[in-house]
Amino acid sequence: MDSDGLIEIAARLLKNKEVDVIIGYKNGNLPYTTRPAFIKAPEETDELIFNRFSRINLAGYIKEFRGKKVGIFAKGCDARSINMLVVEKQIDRKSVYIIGLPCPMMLDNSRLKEVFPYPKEIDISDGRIVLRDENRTVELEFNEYVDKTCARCNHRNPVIYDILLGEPVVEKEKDYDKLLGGFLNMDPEKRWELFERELVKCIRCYGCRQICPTCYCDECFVDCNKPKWLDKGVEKSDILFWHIGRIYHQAGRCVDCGSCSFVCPVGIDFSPYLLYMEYVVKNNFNYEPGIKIDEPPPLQTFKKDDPQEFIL
Amino acid sequence: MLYIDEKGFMEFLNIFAKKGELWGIVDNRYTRVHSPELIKISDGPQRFSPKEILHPQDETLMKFEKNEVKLPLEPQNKVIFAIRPCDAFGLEILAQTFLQDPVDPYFAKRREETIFISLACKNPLPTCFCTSFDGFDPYKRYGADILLYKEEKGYLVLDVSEKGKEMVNGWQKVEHIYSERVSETKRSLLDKLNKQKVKTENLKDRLLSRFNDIGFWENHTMRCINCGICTYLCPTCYCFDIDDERIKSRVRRTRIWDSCQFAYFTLEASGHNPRQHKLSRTRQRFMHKLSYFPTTYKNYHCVGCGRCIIYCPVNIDIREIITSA
Repeated sequence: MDSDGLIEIAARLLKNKEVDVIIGYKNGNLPYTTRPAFIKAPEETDELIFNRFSRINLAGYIKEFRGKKVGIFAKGCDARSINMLVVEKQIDRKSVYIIGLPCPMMLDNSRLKEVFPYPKEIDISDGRIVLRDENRTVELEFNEYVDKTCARCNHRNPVIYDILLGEPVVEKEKDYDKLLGGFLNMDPEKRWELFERELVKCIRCYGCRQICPTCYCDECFVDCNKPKWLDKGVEKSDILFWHIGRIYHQAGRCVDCGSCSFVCPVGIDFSPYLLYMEYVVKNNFNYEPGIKIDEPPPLQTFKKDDPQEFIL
Repeated sequence: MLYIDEKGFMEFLNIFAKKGELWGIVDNRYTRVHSPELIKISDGPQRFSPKEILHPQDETLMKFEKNEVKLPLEPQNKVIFAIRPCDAFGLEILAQTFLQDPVDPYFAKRREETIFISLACKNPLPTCFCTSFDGFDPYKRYGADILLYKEEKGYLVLDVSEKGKEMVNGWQKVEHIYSERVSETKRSLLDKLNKQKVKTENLKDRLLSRFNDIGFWENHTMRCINCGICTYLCPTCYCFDIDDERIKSRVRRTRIWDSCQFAYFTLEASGHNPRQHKLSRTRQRFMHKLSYFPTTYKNYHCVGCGRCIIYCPVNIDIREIITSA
């Protein structure tokens, strides 16, 4: 992907002192990785890149630069998270300069790693991924290795930006019936079974919470010990309680960036539950998180005519 | 040299599997297995380290009910197949902490009742840097009881502890020819590993002099999200918390993994937190492993397995900190 435009705009913003820092990506030192970068000097902007492994949602880093003016790379999901943080008054829109990037869709690094753990070269062009080292070459279909969060994304173009680099991409609607098919038709016992089986793998590293831009509480309920809401070990009830708590707190707030599933060291897929929350909120309140900058999530407002059919 | 063929070895493991004592890697994690065929071992270290066998994430220390205190020191008999030599070295490093005076009885009991079978490496992963640490030999037994080498159709015993001797008693004595092959594999492994070495000369002092260099830490760790993945997957990180869990009149006192990356790790009752900021927490991890620990115990608190590098979601690399300190 062409990074020249990015570097140019980042260097200009820093040179003109329009921003104090640029939050973006630079190359990682392992295949299929990038690393979040924090660039403060115009001459260091050469390192900036944006490619199909720029997976991590960067919005959460903004709050670490309180009092500073921040320039940030924003794909569709990052932009929605920024919006969400503005709506919830965590950051000041005026202190953020958003460099919007229509998302080319990220690749699923864990599946690629299974196919070819340590390639020396990765070429992505014309809908194909070519992986190579001294001994072999593997060719894959791009579409088959798109991260599943990105494959279902309906807001690949940033909904908010100060400058947009690149051409907007064609978006598609989210087909919840198809995406949640099995889950929607499952009876509660079966759902619980699935939830339990998947979530019990958790080792409580809190990677999901730490990477999530919307998990910004100064004191998370899981850490709180006065009162102590839950125990600290890996008893099933504590693990499940922790995740139910986190997932419910995301209702109408999660932008489905998939970062939590991406970082999870035991490979938990949070999407059925978070997506279900998204579906319920959308259906009942016609609300999509992070789309409008002046509309708080339904659970933070009250209207006399709020729907309540879904309340058991 | 002792040798056992594949079939014989499976029968050997099966004895323990039948007693429910066999543990191995399934889905990247050490799990009890009822059949040795379920164990899948790939090159290099597996995702989870064998640390959790001796120092489980959630370990009941005692139970209280009414006026009674119960110590649940139940028998822990386990046979682990397999760990890697770096992990076996990690077990020795864990023991430096847990078995110093006063000895931790829980760790000691588990250590006593577990047989670790180590499997010599043939191919390193690109993230392996074990030989960077002085004197590390990927063909040494360290904290394991039996060190095996995988032959085409069986296993060779490279070394065995007193405890392990009895177990390999009936295995077949074989000719010298094998040892040539072993040396050859070892040579080619070392060739590869030595290319992946990082400079550890004067590391503890170099790092100490960086303590206040905020720019250095910002550069390497600003992107850290302060999750606990690196510390939980690390074969030597041992920090824990102790908690009392109460259900009605029953209380369970438990020891749980904790991580220096968490803000609550150092939060004091007064409300003061000496490691309030992210950078001081990430710095602590590297300082402890590579500077404070070797000041007390001579060796570093890292075995170069590379797990923290592979599984860090934001690609923080301990090798970069070691080289540029």
